[in-house]
Amino acid sequence: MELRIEELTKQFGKTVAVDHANLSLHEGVIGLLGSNGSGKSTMMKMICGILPSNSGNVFYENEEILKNYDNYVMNLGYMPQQLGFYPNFTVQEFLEYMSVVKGLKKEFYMKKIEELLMKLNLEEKRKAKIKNLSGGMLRRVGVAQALLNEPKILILDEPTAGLDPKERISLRNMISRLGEESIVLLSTHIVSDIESIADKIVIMKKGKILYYDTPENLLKMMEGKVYEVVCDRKTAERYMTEQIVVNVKKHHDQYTLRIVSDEVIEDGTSIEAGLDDLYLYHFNDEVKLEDF
Amino acid sequence: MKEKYKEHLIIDEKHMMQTIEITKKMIEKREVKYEENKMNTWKEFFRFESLKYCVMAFISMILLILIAPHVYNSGYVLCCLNTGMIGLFAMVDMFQSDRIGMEELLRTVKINPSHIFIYKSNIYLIWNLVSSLIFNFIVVSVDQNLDYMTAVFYSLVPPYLVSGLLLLIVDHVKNKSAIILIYGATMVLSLMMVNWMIRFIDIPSFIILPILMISFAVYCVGTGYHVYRMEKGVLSWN
Ligand SMILES: Nc1ncnc2c1ncn2[C@@H]1O[C@H](COP(=O)(O)OP(=O)(O)O)[C@@H](O)[C@H]1O
Ligand SMILES: [Mg+2]
Repeated sequence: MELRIEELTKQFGKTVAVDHANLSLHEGVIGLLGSNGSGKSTMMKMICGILPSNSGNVFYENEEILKNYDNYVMNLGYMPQQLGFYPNFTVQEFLEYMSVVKGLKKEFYMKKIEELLMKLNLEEKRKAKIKNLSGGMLRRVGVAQALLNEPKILILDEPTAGLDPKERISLRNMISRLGEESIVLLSTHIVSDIESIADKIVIMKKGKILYYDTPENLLKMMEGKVYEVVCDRKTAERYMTEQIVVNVKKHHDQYTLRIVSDEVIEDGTSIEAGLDDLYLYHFNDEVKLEDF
Repeated sequence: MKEKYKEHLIIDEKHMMQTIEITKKMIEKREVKYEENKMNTWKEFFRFESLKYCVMAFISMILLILIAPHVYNSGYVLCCLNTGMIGLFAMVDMFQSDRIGMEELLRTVKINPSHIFIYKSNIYLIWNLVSSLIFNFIVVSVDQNLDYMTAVFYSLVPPYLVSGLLLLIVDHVKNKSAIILIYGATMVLSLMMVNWMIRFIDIPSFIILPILMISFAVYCVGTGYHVYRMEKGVLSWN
C-alpha cells in the first residue's frame, strides 16, 4: 500500500501554505509535526482530495486520487481539525448519518457503531447531543466517524487537541493498533502525542517538509547537541537568553537546565536527546508558550 | 523506539478483553460493507435529513387548512404562504449543512454535498407539490370553488423561481445573512406578484403553464450551476 505525494503546492494569495511537498507513505503511524500555520491541515486536505492543489498530485497505489475519487473515498477516513458537526444530532444519530453518506450497509454499520462506541468509551454518551459534548468527547466522536468504513488511509487532523491525559493515552493506544494495517497520518504540534507511537515522523515548517524519517534517525541528528547544566540563578538567566532552553528544574537555589545547542556548552554534560529537543531545535523561533 | 514505549502504554485489562470479545463477534459475522441498493440508502437519508422538515411543513399545512375558510381569497394566498414556509425550511436545512468541518467531512464521502443538495431540494419541491395539491383539494371540496386549482399552479412559481435564482447567485455571495435577506425579499416579491396577477388582472389560465415552465427551467439551470461549482470545490461561503 502506498500513498505518494509529488511536488504538492498550495498558495493562498501570497502565503505559500504547502511548498513542493514530496512524501511516500506506507502502513504505519506517521506523525506530522509542525507549529501552528506550518501547513499541516492544508496538506491533509489536499491528501483527502477536498482542496485543489496549485500544482502537484497525490497518488494512491500509483493512481491519481481525483481520477477515481469515488473509489478512493471508500478507503479514506478523515477527521478535520474543526469539528462543526450537526449540533442537534445525538452521537448515535450522527454516526448513523455518516455511515449512510459513506454508503455503508445498515447491517454492517449498526455493528460497527457499537464496536466504535465501545472502543472509544462513548457508550454512555450515545444519546447525548453533539452540542452538549465536551471537547474531548467531540474529538473521539470525530475519530469514530473516520473509522466507520474501516479505512486503509486514516487522516486525523490534531486528534489529541483538547483531550485530557487519560483520553490521550487511550487514543494513542488505539491509533498505534490501527497503524498495523493502515496508513495513519496524524498531525499535531505536541511532540509527546506522537513520539511513543509514530513509526515515521514528518517535520513541516512554513509549508516545507524539513525531514521525513524514523524517530530514531531523527534523534541521531541531535546527538551531542543536548546538554544538561547545573548552575545558579544568574547563569541560568544568561543561558535562557542566549540558548535554546528546553526545560528548567529548580531545586533550592540550584537550577538544572536542559539546553539544545550546536556549540559545545563548557560546563554542561552531554545527554540523550528526545523529540522535544528536536522540535525546539527547529521551531525555537516560532514556539509559543501555549504549545506546552 | 515504538517498542521502547510499548511497555509504558497503560493497558486497561477489562476494557481490552471486552474489545477483543466484540471484535471476535464482528469478524464472525462480517457482512458486506457497502450498500448496493440505492433506494435503501436514500430511505435512510430521508429519515435523517428531510423527515423532520416534512413533518413540520405538514403540520403547518394542517394549520393553514384550519384557518383557510376564514380568510378572503384563501386558496392561493394560503397556498403561497405554504410554499413560502416550505422554502424556508429548505433554506434552514441548506445552512445547517454548511458548517465548517461538516462541509469538509461530507466532501470525503460517497454521497457528497452536491448529491445531497439535489436530493434535498427535490424532496422539498415534490413535498411542496404534493402538499399544495392536498391542501387545495381540501379547500376546493369544502368551498366547491374550482378557481383554487389555478392557484395551485401559481403557488409553485415562487419556490421554483426563487430557488433557481438563489442557486445562481449563492456561490458568489460570501455573506450568509445577505443570502437569507435576498431569499426572503425575492420570495415576498414573487408572492406579491402572483397575488397581484390573480387578483387584479384576469389572465387566462393557459399563461400559467409557460410561467411555471420558465420558473422550472430557472430552477434546473440554477441547480446545475450550483452543483458544477460545488464539484469544482469553489464554494465560497466559508
Ligand atoms: N482558506 C484559507 N485561506 C487563506 N489562507 C489560508 C487558508 N487556509 C490556510 N491558510 C494559511 O495557510 C497557512 C497554513 O495553514 P494550516 O494548513 O491551517 O496550518 P496548520 O494546520 O499547520 O496549523 C497559514 O498561514 C494559514 O493562514
Ligand atoms: Mg491545522
